[in-house]
Amino acid sequence: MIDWQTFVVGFILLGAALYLSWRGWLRISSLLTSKQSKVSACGGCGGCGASKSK
Amino acid sequence: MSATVYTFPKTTPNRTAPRDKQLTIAVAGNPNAGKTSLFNALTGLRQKVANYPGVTVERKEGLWSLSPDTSPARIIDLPGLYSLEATSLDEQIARDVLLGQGMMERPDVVVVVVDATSLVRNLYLATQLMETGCRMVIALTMFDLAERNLIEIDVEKLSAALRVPVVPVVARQDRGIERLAAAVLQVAARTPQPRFASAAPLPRPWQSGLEPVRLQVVPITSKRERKFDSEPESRNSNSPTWQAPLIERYGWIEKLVAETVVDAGGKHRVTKRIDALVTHKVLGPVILFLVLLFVFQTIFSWANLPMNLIDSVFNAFADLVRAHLPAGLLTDLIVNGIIPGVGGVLIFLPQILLLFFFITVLEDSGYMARAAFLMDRLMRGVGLHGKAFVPLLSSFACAVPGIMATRTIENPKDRIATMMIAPFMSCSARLPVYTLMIAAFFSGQNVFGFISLGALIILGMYLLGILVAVIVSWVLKHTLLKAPSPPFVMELPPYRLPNLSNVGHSLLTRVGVFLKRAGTVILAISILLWALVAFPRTTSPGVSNSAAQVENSYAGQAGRIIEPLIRPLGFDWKIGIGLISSFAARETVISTLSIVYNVGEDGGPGSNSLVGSIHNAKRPDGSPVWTPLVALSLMVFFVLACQCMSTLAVVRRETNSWRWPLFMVSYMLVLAYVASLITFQGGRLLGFS
Repeated sequence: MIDWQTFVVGFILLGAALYLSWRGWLRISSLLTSKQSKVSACGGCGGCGASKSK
Repeated sequence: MSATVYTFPKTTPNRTAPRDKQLTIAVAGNPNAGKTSLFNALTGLRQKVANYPGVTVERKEGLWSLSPDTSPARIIDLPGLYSLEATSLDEQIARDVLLGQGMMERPDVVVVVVDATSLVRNLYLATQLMETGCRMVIALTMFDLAERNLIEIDVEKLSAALRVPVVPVVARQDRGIERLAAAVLQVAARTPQPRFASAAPLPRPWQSGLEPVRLQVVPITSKRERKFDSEPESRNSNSPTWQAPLIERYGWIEKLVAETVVDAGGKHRVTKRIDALVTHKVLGPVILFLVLLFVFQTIFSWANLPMNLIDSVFNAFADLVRAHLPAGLLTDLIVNGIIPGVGGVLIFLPQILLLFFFITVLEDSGYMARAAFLMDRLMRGVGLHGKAFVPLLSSFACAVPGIMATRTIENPKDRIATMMIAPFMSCSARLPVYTLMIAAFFSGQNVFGFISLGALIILGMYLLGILVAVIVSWVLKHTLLKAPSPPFVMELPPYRLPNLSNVGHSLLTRVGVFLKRAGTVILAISILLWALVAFPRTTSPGVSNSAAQVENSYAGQAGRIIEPLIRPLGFDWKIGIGLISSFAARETVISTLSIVYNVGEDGGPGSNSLVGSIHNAKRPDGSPVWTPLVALSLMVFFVLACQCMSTLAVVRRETNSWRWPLFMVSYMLVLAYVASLITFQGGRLLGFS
């Protein structure tokens, strides 16, 4: 029987799966696109110091 | 000889009439002259600044509001270059922008950043740029440091001699910025400057000296890497063709500086005294070792309290959810998936912040450049270029900017060799793994009564990464990437007090990045991992953490498939699942272990710590899954394996080839497996458990 918790969890799982697929696709497409790719290879670790406007 | 002491004017100077066209301004200068600090002060951006050369390897852009009457100018921060005779990738990027070669037009004005404490070297590039006829303004940076070192510069005389506006600035304190803006506007309104119109003409014009060298510089294409065998060693030769104009020009600059500068205090007396100690042949490495040991010891002792606090917050949150939500899948997901998955990683935030606090302080103070100087002998011994140190240093934060920083290395073979070993430097994502293992098996133990064993083991892991990197680079440089390394002259910047705002900004950036990562990738992976552990259901909802449930789950089935492969390393299938998930992000191994080891099953305060679960984990025969030897084996695996998609992606981009990232992931994985195997099996043979 599907109760409300199962329903919510289904949505959360779908969201997580879609998010990770999207991230994976961005990464793969950045590798497949040769030369100047629009997607950065940067993993966003902040090691190079992120920029922000005042 | 006399010199006038410069005072920063308090009033805003007159500006020229507004212009319709948006100005393009390039900020150029020697490495570590303060270009990025000035760029940040002008634009309000926060690009990374450090007290060593080679931090900027790409051109960065921003907007600079020169005056209320004009539209903001487009300002470009360029990688540092010593002269227009560029050889490395980053220098070529800067030169192409300055000369208007390649994709973009020549900038309207060039702000040449000249370090006031090192005028002779810095003016070399300035005089070359003057000869190209570009409109330029000299920004005399680090003026406060020059004053402190009792260096008096007659700014007006220098400006008159060069016939270029010279504006002293202190970027960190926003001093001189308004005057610089006025000078830029005035220069921009002029017709292009006449070719080198100094009061005393140079003995030999730049172009005649440059041409023979420039012809040998291969353009920035992927083909460059295939040409390394035929690339002439012109820079190392003693050819008088390019040396003679260089010597003559330096002679000219030295004469000019002698006439305009009074160095009353002797240059950087404090710096010289400290350097005598920290770069000493014997004392230097000892001091470096003690500094690193202090850093790790402090990370351990200071981080405990905030870590316990974060842990108790997550435990309280789990209790709250259990108390207010009825049993069901959602409660199970939050209590056994999200909270242990995300909380298990977030708990390490204080340690990571402390690590970056020390890294930033050491960078800002100038000590890191001395560490590079000490390591240079070792690196050159294995054939690595001296310039490899900065990329390797950056890789301790993250391999991605480290690999990008290899652009400062001229020789493509040296560059690729550095890329191939950069991921051996223990990045911040590995720290949680080391810490968890140490907290579980080596905490509270001291060596010689006062040195924490945990701190020593972490230091050992960092040193293991460096040692393996040295060995691998030696092998690569004697086989696949054979090439002589050119001589390397290293600039040791003066010591400075660390800039608190820079340190604070670095830590804030780190907090933001860490929280974002925990709230996105790690959260999503934790949710999916929970699903893989919770399904298919073998028990009723709410009791998904029972041993049978985990064993029969999808994750359990997958883990048992790879178990025969990892059993020789001392790992069971649950650790195997952690290893697989860590290829998405290294820290996820903590989330995975938290989820599969039934964290929070009983809801009691002591039972829901991951360390406790690790201690209680048993194999089917009743023996413990985890022992100190297994923990060491896992740490060694994490030191050497390349479990990072971002690193592979950036290597692919920088080498423009699939070959090198595939080679990197393969050889590192094999190395990690073998080293882990030796650790575990060797330890057992020696009688350790």
